[in-house]
Amino acid sequence: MTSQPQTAVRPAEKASLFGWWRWRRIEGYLFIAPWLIGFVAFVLGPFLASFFLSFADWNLVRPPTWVGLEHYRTMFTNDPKYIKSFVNTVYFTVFHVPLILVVALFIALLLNRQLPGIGVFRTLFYLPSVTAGVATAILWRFIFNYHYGLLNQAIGLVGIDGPNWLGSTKWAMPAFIIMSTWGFGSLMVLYLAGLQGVPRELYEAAEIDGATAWDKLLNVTIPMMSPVIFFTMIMTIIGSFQIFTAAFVMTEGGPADATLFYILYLYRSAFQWLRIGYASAMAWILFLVILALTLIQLKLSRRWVFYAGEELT
Amino acid sequence: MVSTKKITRRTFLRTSAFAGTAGVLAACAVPVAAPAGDGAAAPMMEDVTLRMVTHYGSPVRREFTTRVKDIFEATHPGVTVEVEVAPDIDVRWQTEVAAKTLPVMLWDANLFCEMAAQGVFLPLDDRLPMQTPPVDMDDYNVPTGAECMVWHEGQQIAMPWINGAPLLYYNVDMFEEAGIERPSDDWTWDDFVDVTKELTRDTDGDGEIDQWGYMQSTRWDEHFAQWIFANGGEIVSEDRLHTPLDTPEAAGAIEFLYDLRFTHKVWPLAEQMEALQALGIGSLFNGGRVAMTYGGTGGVGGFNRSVTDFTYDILHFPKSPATGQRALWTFMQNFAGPIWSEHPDLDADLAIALGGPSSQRWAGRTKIQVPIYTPAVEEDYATKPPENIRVVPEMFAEPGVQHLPIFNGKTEWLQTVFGGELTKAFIGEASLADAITSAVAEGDRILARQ
Repeated sequence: MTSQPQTAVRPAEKASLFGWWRWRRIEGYLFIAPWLIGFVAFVLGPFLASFFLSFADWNLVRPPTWVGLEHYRTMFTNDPKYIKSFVNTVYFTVFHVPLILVVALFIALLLNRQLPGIGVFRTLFYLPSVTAGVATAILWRFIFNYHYGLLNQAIGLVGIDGPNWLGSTKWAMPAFIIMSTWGFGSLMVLYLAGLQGVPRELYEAAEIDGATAWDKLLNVTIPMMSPVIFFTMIMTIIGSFQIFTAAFVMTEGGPADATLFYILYLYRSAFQWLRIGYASAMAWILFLVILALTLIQLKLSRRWVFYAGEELT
Repeated sequence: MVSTKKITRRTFLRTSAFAGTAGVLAACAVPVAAPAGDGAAAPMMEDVTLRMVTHYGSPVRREFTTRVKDIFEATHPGVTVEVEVAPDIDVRWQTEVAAKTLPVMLWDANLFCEMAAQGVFLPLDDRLPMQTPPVDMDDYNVPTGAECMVWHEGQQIAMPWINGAPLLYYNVDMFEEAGIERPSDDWTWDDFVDVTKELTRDTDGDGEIDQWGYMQSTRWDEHFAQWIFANGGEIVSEDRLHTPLDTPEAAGAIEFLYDLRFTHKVWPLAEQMEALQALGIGSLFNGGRVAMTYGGTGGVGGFNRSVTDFTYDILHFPKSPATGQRALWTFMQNFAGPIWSEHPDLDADLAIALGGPSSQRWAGRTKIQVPIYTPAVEEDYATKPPENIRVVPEMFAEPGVQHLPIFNGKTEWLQTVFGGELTKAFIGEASLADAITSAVAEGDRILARQ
């Protein structure tokens, strides 16, 4: 029996190996260079620039003027509209996120069957989420019309006098929450995929133990789906904090700032009022808020998110 | 010995990646012109392309820009003018300023003066006498308060284009049906209320009002300025630090408008307007639902072309009972090119052509706005229709004509004060007193930052 002789690497070979490894590294960087250049130029660069601009006053015409923390101070002490936009966005998020998650899961549960033509229904339910944002907003503006809109016409059939949805400070935000729910298709697809991954044996075992449909939902489906639900919850919260198109097209933040969302106010500050520094500061605050919320959710997820294969504590 | 080394897949991929990256970098490189040698002349560019951007895309305005472009290209062989309509011009120019690619553009007052103060615009003085015929600026009626839109530190940096002003349009047929004679030029706010009440009615007998006496927007300062100025008030203080909408004069004017909508009910509510628009009645005046509307002088040409179902005409605004006067504000637009132009003479010539006498006369004939070139107002604009077009030159001849205030940060100020805070009252979401109070507070807060 022979064994592989241990060969010591001689200096000449070491140099060659080092050259080879270095060339492999360079090769790798060359492959990713186009993306890297784009990332630095269009993401990292503006990212850093906005950070420094958040401490300056700049309107594109005059040179930037250093103002330190003035923008951050103004936001929280001398800008009622900023506070209003933040509150509006939180209001929207608090109601929009659970609603869309529940609706998406409910529809996914309904569509998680092997029935003839089920693909057609899945497609139909998914279609709204791929329609253009502006077109959707214009469509819903008609739906919410006080006198002739589809919604008030429909509820009028059962004797309910519909409100002036987009013209009332009380009903404008509920209108947005209702409207935003129709884009549940993307979440539905993710939940469908997640449901397909729940082992049948778990349901069979639960049935043997006498579990009802509701028991199976609570004790099998949702725990097994918890990673997907967790992911969609984080992404939906991030998305809802950035709502812009619908408000820009439908109400322009009205009536009376009732739908003045954070990003809409940021957009106005930057591109209509040329307060680039202030808008940059707003962007950084939003980033920190979303980061904080995500970290909190990650921390809390240990209590309710179950990953298959990990030990139960 | 012949090499039999094959090209491996790795070698091929490595070479391709290297070549691809080099190609991307080369494509991003900015070409640098070869420097001229000592004593050598710089290479001549035979074909020059100039850019011109405007934010009005109506067929008439396109006709105007096409006309100027064609004439300019005919008189400047080798020059091509690219005309672009940019509805998002407020965002567009920012990108162009940052990239120093700003073309010759049509400007409004709100940003122009601040940019002029930063030296962004191309001086035109040397080129004015070189035009055929030479341009004499004494023939241009630049309104008081708008000087910064034309001159900066003694240099002319823009070519005035038009003077816009408010106009009161009315439906002649509705007045005749109601048996109301055309109001006199000296009518008052009280007369105005009486007339609008008579013209507000249920025409089809279903119990719902479907014809109103008056309508206007509340979005901009210009929609309130007419009434506030006439009543002796101001919309911003002389030192641009205060928003004096809470003075008796200004508040009285705003209350007059508020009462039209909520007390006299001669002005459709927001939801009523929205309902009619949902039925496809885009303009309530054109659609025959409103007897009088507050518009601008730029609407005359449009109404001449679009209003075919009834006869329209224009009126002097009524006089305030407090002052016995009416007021006139104007806003000016101009054409200007950038200081960093690669072809400064050509860009200057283009800006001058756009605002020159020939263009002014064309604007007057088509009535897309009131020309600033005085002969064009008298000889071209002041021609019928409408029947009483004489109202416009008479308005400009009255004393006290002033340009809407121009100051830094005005866009945010007017959108917040008028389109935001004051509008809350006009859509029924706040009391008038609260709306005026918050408008003043917000306005002052914004002015204090400038």
